[in-house]
Amino acid sequence: MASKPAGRLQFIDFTRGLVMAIMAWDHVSGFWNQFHQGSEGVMGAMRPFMNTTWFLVRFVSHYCAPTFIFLAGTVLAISTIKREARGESQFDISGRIVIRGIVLLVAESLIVAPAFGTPWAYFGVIACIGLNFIIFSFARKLPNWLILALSLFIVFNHNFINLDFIPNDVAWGHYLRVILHEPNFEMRPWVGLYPILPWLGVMGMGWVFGSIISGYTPEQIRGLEGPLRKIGLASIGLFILVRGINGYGNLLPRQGWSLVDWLYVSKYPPSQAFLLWTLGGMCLFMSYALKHQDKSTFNTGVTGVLNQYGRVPLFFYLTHLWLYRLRLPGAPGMFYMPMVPTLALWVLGLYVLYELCKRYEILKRNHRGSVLQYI
Amino acid sequence: MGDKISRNTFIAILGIILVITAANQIMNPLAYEVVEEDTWWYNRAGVNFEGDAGMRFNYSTLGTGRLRYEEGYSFRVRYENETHLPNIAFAWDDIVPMNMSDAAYMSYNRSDVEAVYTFGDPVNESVHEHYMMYSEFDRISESGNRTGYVGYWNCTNSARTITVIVEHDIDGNRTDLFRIFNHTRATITDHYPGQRPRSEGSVKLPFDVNTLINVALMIMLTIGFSFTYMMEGFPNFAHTSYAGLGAMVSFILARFFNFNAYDTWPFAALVGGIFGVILYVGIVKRIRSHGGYQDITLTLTFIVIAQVLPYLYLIFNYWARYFGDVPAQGYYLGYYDFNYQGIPGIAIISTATCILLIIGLRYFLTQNKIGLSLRAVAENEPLAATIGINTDRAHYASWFISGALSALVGSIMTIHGGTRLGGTDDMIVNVMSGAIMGGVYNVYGAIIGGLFVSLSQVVLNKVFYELFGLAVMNWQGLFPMGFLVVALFIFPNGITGPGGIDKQRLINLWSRIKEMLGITQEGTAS
Repeated sequence: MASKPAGRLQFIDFTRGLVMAIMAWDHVSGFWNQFHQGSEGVMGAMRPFMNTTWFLVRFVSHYCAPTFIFLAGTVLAISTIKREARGESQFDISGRIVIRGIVLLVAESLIVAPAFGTPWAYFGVIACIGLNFIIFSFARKLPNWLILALSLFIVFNHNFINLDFIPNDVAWGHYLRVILHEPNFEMRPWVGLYPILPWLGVMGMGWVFGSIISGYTPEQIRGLEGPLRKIGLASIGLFILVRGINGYGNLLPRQGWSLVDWLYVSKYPPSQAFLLWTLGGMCLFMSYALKHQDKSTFNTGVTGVLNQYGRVPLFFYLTHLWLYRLRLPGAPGMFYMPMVPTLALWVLGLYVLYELCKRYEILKRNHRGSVLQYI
Repeated sequence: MGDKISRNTFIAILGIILVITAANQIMNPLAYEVVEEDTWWYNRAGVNFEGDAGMRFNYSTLGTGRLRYEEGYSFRVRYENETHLPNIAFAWDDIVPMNMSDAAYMSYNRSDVEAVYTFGDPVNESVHEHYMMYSEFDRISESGNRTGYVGYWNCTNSARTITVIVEHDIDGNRTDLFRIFNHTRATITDHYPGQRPRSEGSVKLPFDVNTLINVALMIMLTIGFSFTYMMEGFPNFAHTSYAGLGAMVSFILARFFNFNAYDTWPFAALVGGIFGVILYVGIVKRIRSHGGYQDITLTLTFIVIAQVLPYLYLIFNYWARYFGDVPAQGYYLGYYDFNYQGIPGIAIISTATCILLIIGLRYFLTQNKIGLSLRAVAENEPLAATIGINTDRAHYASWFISGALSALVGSIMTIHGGTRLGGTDDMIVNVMSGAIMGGVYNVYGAIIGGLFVSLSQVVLNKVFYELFGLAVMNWQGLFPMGFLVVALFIFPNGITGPGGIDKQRLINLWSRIKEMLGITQEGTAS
């Protein structure tokens, strides 16, 4: 008897939950730690980090955006294939993806941007995923080999894109360049950090991965553990090679031999080195989850909590920002805490978020057809 | 969709893309170029000038609430969320501008010699002992007409001249500009102004005045600590944290209400005392009413309070920075101090205060009705209650005195060297050592213990420094621990406690040492 296709893919939930917990640390640290820095890439070679510790607590969060976007593509492919299998019309499927994309764009502007204290037009990771969803509502018609080829082409070659033909001194031109390929904060409110072009490639790869595994049986899914581990290790090996050669693939060249020199890579926009490290790490996380997901303890304890986050990622994202950025009434800015109390706040917040996510999942399950399906 | 990709197809696609990438690399220069910044960025806490190598200075990007620091000669910052994008420039220079025009020219990085400046009437004023001159100006230049405010002053701390300029395009709102100018100069003049110059007085004290002040502070703190221990039977780990509260009160009154720092002491003590009573009513009394292992619960609770209080001070600090233009990383009011014949005023006043307090406490505990009831409750509370003593009042009194003394110490510390946020917490080990050494069951023991610990620490610091060099200073935090060990060994109940010095234990110790060294009865090594 042929095996049934796998149900909910726990290794995806786990990986997504894990990077979200890490991302929550990045954000809570950004809100409360004076020395927490970021903007790797847009700041040029200038390193804002006070020491290696502060660098590493930021660096660890690099996994988040690539994993998010890759898995967004994966889950989009899986859900689209399921809908097709259920006989939903192509128009409905595309319409649903477009609506989801618009919801994300609106959420970025109304919920995420104010949480970060950025202008309403800030083009962040949620907006980037939203716009890429809209693109995929059409691009999904392309054959997988072409999506893969285009995605790889974008990831490997986006550094060569020259948008100088678009005027940069007028708002529309500047914003277009920000959205397409040039992250910066120079002309408020037309600012952004996640241009769609490089990330479209990442999402495309995720889409192809999703469409490949969508019909897999549980055994086949389990069999991905080894290949994913090998790909992950190979990817990290390539990262070392690319950083070692210190040529193409490094938007921020390695300036020396220290740990920070090796790891200080451009995230805005993502360099090849950055993607090799982060997507390689993501493969290892997924491999780990596949190895352990059949154990009875996988859905309890810490892994259970991470799985829970991964099942309601957008809710987690939108909630955690406002939970962690709690401010004093009437306060225009922020005050700072040392790292250890911030870690305590992070853990406390993760517990609160776990409880909220649990309740939200039940709510969502009880109102399947409602607007909650988009969050 | 849903079509699968074979391994060979994947490898073929990857290979083609890599070839295209390689070709692209050979044929096209990169569109992205990394632009190296001229300045080196670094981050340090606090808004203060540092006069060491490299002429470090910093600025606060007020709009975002974040602090950034740069090293350099002169630089410009753009305010990100201002409509008219005003620019601000600081210059820190050995060269004193000759006039407003010169200051403006320097602030524009000495660029555009053709620019024409028009200045309003210069205003003279003093901000935190910095005598500054500023004026509004218009700048007509081919690169664009600008308007703004420029001011310069001599920094009394760094002995350099600072120029600050805030400007934007000519159509901007001048009121807004002045607000930013005002905020900016307040921010950058609010570095620690430093001690007033000491007069070369004729009085040469035979000891270090800092030791004198530290002894006075330690005695006051140990008295307060002992009060709580006597009355409640648990060590109040948050005791020295109240000192931060006193420092904060003094800081508020001095910086926001122009009080003299010395005048703030009674207020600080009052607030500290009230805070102590609140802790008693809100925490101690409630926990006591529940039964169980109260002393352990209370001890742990007060450890938590000791952790929390510094963050409350941080919140104040944050508000002070935003609403009062006072970036308080710590509390320092040393510039209010005076000196008499070369002796810092704080040494004289704090010592006198300590002596008066000891005399007053002696009178209070021996002559005053509340003081007597306090002692009775400390001895035996149930018995005191049966003879009609208002035990609650005694508790209130002890917590008030304890809180007031600690807050007073914090207030004194703002003048004597300043306190950093949460810095007073570090003193708890010393205070406990002093209290235990003196005997936690009476106030006189606290006085003796405080005196002994603070003096010994100074002496030991010097002895160890002479013996082992500077590196030993890293270990000076261990000294109070050493006192604790010695105290518990030799005076298990404190110097003034029941039994005083445990002679038998000393004899036993000496015997064991002799045994280890092989010294015979006759005093010769066997």
